[in-house]
Amino acid sequence: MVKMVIRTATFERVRTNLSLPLLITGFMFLSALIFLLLNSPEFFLIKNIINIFNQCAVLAILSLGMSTVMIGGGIDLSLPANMALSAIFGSTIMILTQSVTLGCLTMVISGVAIGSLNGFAIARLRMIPFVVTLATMTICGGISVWTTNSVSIFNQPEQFFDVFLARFLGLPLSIYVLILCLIITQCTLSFTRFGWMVYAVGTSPEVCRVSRIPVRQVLFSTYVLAGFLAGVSAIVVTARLGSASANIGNDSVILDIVTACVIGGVSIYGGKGRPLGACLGAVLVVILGNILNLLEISFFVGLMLKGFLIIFFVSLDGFLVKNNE
Amino acid sequence: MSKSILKMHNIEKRFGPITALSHANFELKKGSVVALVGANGAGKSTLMNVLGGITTQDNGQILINDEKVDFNSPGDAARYGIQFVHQELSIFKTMTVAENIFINKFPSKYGLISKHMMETTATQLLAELGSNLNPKHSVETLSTGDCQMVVIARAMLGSPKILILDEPTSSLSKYEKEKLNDVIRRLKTSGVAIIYISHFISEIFEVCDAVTVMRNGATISSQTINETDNATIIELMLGDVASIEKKRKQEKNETIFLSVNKLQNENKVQEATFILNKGEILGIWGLLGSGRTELVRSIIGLDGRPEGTIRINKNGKLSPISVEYLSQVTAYVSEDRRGEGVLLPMSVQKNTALPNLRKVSRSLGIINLEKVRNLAKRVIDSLSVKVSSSDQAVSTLSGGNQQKIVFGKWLETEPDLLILDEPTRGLDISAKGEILKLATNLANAGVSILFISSELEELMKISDRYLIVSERHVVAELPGNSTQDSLISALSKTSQGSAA
Repeated sequence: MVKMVIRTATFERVRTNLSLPLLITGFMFLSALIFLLLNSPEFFLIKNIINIFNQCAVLAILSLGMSTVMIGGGIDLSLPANMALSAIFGSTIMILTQSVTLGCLTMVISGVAIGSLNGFAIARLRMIPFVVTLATMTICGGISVWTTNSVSIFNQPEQFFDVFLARFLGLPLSIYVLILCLIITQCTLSFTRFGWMVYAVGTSPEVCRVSRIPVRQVLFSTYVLAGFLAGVSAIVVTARLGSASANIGNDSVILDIVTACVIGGVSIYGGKGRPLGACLGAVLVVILGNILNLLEISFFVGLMLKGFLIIFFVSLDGFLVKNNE
Repeated sequence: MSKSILKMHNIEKRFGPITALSHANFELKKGSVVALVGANGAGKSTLMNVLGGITTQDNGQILINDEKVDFNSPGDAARYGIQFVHQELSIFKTMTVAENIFINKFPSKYGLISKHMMETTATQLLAELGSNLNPKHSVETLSTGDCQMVVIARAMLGSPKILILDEPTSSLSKYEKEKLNDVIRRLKTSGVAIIYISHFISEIFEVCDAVTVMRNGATISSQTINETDNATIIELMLGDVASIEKKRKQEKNETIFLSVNKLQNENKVQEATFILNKGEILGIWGLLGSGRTELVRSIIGLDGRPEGTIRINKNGKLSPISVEYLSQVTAYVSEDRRGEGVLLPMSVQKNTALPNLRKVSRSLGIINLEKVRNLAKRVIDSLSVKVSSSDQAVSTLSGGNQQKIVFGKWLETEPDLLILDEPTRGLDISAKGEILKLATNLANAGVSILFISSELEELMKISDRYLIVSERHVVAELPGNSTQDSLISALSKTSQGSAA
């Protein structure tokens, strides 16, 4: 009897941790790897795998930010545009002052500032996240194109690239930055008071209000954290591309971020998911992109595929939510 | 006497373990107005939902003109001439009067909506009700009484033989009530039979021909209006008075804990003044919609910013405080358990930790999982919550156990003030008893309690004193040894007072 109780308890824990969307994602991941093993074994060369991770770093860092906002029950469409504008600001400062530190700091501060703007409008003025961040996205995109005339900003100081393209233990710095961001975000959400409040607010702001949770501050903070991560990703993307431009925040990036989050088990209804899942989702998105390249399938078919993936996972999520109630 | 248009015979209905209706009977004669009364949870709504085709009975028969019928949807009921006007008026604010009347079936010509036809018919219908509303006007600017006319006109469009009015006067002014009575008399002479559900007993005598009383899911009595009076109906509604026993001895603790003076919150609370002693259970007695919930939510700042002074006892001295401060020492068990009480998809642990996050975390705001588990265990053990593990999602628990989780999470905050708003709603009898016992134990331990309940019996069991709330005012205060009659009449007096 006792044994059975323990067994059901363990089962309960396993069941709540392993959701159906994640199982499907795992299956997709495995199939992708098997496909690559059969069709393109050179994919598994260490060099190529490092390259893949290098490619994912930016997307993964942005997905970490998005997952935080989504767990809190919101959405931040402005992340890529925020990243692009921050990269442009920071690069301009970096070139003007020839100071790498100041440039990088500018990128992070700019990211945080734009995130705070979103947070203020949503938490304080109670505006709808979708509309607010769509507007911020357009504004940031507008400023980026207008100030640069769509021309890339080159000639960042050499030291910048020296630092950020350096390799430690054979891995580029961007991967270390990603891992650090992942650990910070995941630990914050899983093990801190703030993180628990984010999950609770994402599940039900009404219950939280009655339970004395500072709902507005929590919501505000999720957008600030996402903005901070957009600032960090601005540094990484500028280093990798060797330039900053309005185009790095193009519309397909936001599609990739949302895809990464939903296939990584983050619920668009809030309160559910993990940054780690979103991060793995980002890896899967990049691998799928590589496979499509390998098969010489059009970029636009890729867009369609991602769109379908989002719809599929969101409907699955909605179905599960309904079943739970 | 004319013959019966409707007979409901031995209707039974269960929702899971809860019996909502057992042996409910109802009879309605052509062109008569029958009042259906009963305390909250007596089964009036369920019975009417069965008649309206919203739910289906498990057992029993419905006869319309002595023909047996089965209703599986509101559409079925409408085909037999039954129309339901709900208490919550379903009004589309941005649309016109005519559009609101025709919302179920817009008249069309060649596939296009015929505005002209709609407006002339609407004018006609409204005229029949004695109303001269302009069908072209937007509903947004209308008073509640006029909105009600619109909804009744919508029901009339289905040319009903039986019209159900659920709490039609609950938010009407005195003048509007008189107008509504006129409408009811007009409908009656045109041969429509009306079922009139009301909490306001005095109103029944103005328009009804007969009254049917329900209690605990069964029909207790059906009488013509001349055979009965106010007091008899109330007695029938609430059952035996003698069976009520106080859960605890009333202690004379006269230390004031909370003093609220002229609390005003927009139109939700009007000049509320009361005191609450330490370790006292103050029963707040008022009908649904009287403003009792708004009153308790206002003092802890959940419904905007109220005006007036709130003072609490700090080291033996009453000092003025803000609503934010009060909310920090108050546990509020909301009437909406699923919406405001528990995070359904989350585990018991996370639910019990929610208002106690500070208590279960280390420096830098890092959660101590050990403390979280222990806290959940304390709650589960002390309230004997039935769970297989504290990792279990709260959505899988029964209502009673969910409510215990809500209690438990608040008890861990060690509150000075406990607000219980319908804490036993939807619970079975044993869970109800446990919740009441818990409340008395807390009061014995010195917690001051504001207790709201629609069930007078329950309220009388544990209250030390009563505050009577009616039409957004605190209208009276009664001692703990008040009888059921005096409590009831306190309410009916105030409702009469406003009608007079």
